[in-house]
Formats: sequence, structure tokens, C-alpha cells
Amino acid sequence: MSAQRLSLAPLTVRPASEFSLKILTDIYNRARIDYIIPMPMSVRRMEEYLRFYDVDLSRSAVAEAGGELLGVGMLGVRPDRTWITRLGVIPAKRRRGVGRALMRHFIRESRNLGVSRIILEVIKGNVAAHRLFHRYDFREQRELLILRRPPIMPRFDAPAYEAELLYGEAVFALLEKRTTTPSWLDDLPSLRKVGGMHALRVTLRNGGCGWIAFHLQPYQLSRLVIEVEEGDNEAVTRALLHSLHTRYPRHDTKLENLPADSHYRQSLEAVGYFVAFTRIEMVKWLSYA
Amino acid sequence: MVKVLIVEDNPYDARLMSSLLRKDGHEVFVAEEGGEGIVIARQEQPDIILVDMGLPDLDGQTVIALLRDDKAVGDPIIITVTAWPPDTARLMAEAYGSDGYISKPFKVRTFQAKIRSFLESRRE
Repeated sequence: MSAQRLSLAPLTVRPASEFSLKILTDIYNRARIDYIIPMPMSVRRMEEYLRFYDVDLSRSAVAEAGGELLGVGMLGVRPDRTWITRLGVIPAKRRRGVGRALMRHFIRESRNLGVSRIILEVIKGNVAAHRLFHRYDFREQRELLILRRPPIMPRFDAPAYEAELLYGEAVFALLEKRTTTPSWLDDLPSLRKVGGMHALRVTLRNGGCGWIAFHLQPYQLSRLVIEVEEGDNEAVTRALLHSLHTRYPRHDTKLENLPADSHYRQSLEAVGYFVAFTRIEMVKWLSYA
Repeated sequence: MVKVLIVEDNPYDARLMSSLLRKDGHEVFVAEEGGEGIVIARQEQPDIILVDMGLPDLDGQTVIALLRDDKAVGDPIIITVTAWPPDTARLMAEAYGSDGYISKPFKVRTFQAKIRSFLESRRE
């Protein structure tokens, strides 16, 4: 469609539930093709994403003009909060108000739900998106790091410890006691849905103890949550990571959304984790006066 | 004849790279997903594997780690092809054991020159 035809056709925002997963996946991939960190999805991955993160397709949206699909965005819904995600506009259709129309839709839907806040994440350096979110009064809350650790990293030492592998409800019993603030991706409702969550509980000889929860896949460890319960933070964290990586030495590891000021960061970087990129978590508080 | 495997989900980029490599006389295989790429790599033992970082099934990084750890694949030149910012691309390439990276979008001549350069460096 030409720019002239697009400008004549009215822009409409339709519920994403009117479209098949294949169409939603296709428009998402096309909208993100030149994204700063491209993260394409297959239909299977999209289906998992919607399920894991409580995305409500009836409140998610596809922007359209004259029968042409221009952009997409999704809305996750949990008690008292919503989460805008997978927002993207086809490159050739940008700067025509599509992103703004989608944002207004999500804010309206969130208000209809009566939630207190809307959360989203933007990759640091994505200036256009960051500006769009500022325009709708989203404010920076914290920086979240995406760390990687390749399986080819050398072995490392740790203080002597005993480790116990946990799975099933025992993992969630630990996660319920988590003291750090989770992001949407690693909040308990997400982790309950992914399946395959495991944990290692470690006790040092000096009484220090803690646990690390993780999602175990055939080739990758992900969704790591670390908690030191007693003792020296660095020693316990190192023992936890030693236990994890000696048990799964050939797994690639991805840790998403570690707060940049986390006191586990230094121990992670000391054993081969590095920052791949950074997200900025933003929040908009809604008032109903 | 040099065997090249392209692991790339973006059909436009895959077609462009295939066409340039075939023009240079190479035999080209294309996989749209990481898992499929690993299967082809085991079957064909390519001389060069180009891996896009953003794949729909497995992360490109994980694919590279699996290829490097797989004796059935041989010892190919592995090149990361990515739209990630250059600093991040370099960091990932080094950390995951790929031999280098090519930034997207690329110019035709730059792409061809880089492939030749990787091949020459391996022959030396």
C-alpha cells in the first residue's frame, strides 16, 4: 500500500484475539526486524509467551489501516497491574501515529481493568521507544541486566558445601520466600507456568546457606533466581553457581532481568557471566480521581 | 568447493547471503531455525557456518555453543551475523567461540570480502 493510501485509510486498533497466532507471530517478527536486539519468535514460542506471561489477547491489539496490518502490541494482565510487551510497528509504517494509537489503547484497557500501574521494559538505547513511553508518562524504575554465560567457560573454585537438588513444589516454596523484587518475566506467576523449574539448595560448612532456582532445558539454563539466606553473600553465591555449573557444565546460561544494582552481580561476573544488554523497567501509575 | 551453512530466519537476508555465496562458487545450505541448522551441520560438515543471533527456536549463542561442542560438526569457521550493536556483537562472538561477526545490514562487497578474508585466514 502506498503512503498516500495509508494516510487516507483510517487507522483502527483491533483486538489481537481476532487474529491467528500465525498472523500475530508474523506481524511481530516483521515489526521487530530492525530492532536493536532482534528477538524473532516461532508460533510455538509465541504461544508459550502468551501463556507464561498472562497475555490477554482480547486486550492486546493489532493496528490496521485499509486492510493492511501495521503494528502489534500485547497486554499482560495480573492482579492490580498490566504489562505492555511485544510492541512493534512495521518499519515502513512508522512515524504515522501507529505506536501512539497502540499505547492509548493499552492505557485505556488498563484503566478499564482498574489496575494501579502499567509496567513495560525498553531496551537501553532504543531512543524512539523510550521517547514514546515518556510521552505517556511512563517513568524509569530501574535498570535490568540480561547476562549470559557460555558453556565453554573455565571451571572455578568455591568454598566446601553440600548441595541438594529440588524440583516441583519445593522450588516454589523457596520462590515464595524471595526477598528481591521480581520483574514480570521472573515473577512467580510466570515461573509457575514455564514448567521444568528446579533449584539447588546449598549449605556451607560455616552455616552459610542459600538457593538458586533455574529453568532446566535440554541446552540452556535460564530464569535464574538467587537468594542467600545466611552467611557471606559472596561465598554462598559462589557455592551456588559452582554447584549449578558443575552439575550442568555443557549448558548455555541466560539470566534475564537481574537488577543492575543486585548484590549478586559481582559474584556472577567473577565466574564468567557478562552483560549482553540492558533493559529499563518503566512504570506508569494510574489515578482514578 | 566450499560448503557454507546459513542459519537465518529472515528470508530476505538468507536469500541475499545465499545468492552472494553461490555467485562466489560456494555450495550453500540454509536453515531457518537453530535446531535444523545443527542437524544440517552434522550431515554436511560445512566449512563455514553463518549464524544469526536472533533465531526463533534456540538463541544463536546457544546454537554456536552446541556446534562448537559437537565433534560430528567438524571444525568449521563460525561467523555470527547480527543486527546487534557492534560492541555487543564482538563480545558475544568472543565469548561463544565464533571466529568473528558480520553486522546487519551489510553491504554486498563488505560481506563478500569478509567471507574471503575468513577463508584466507583459515588457509594460512
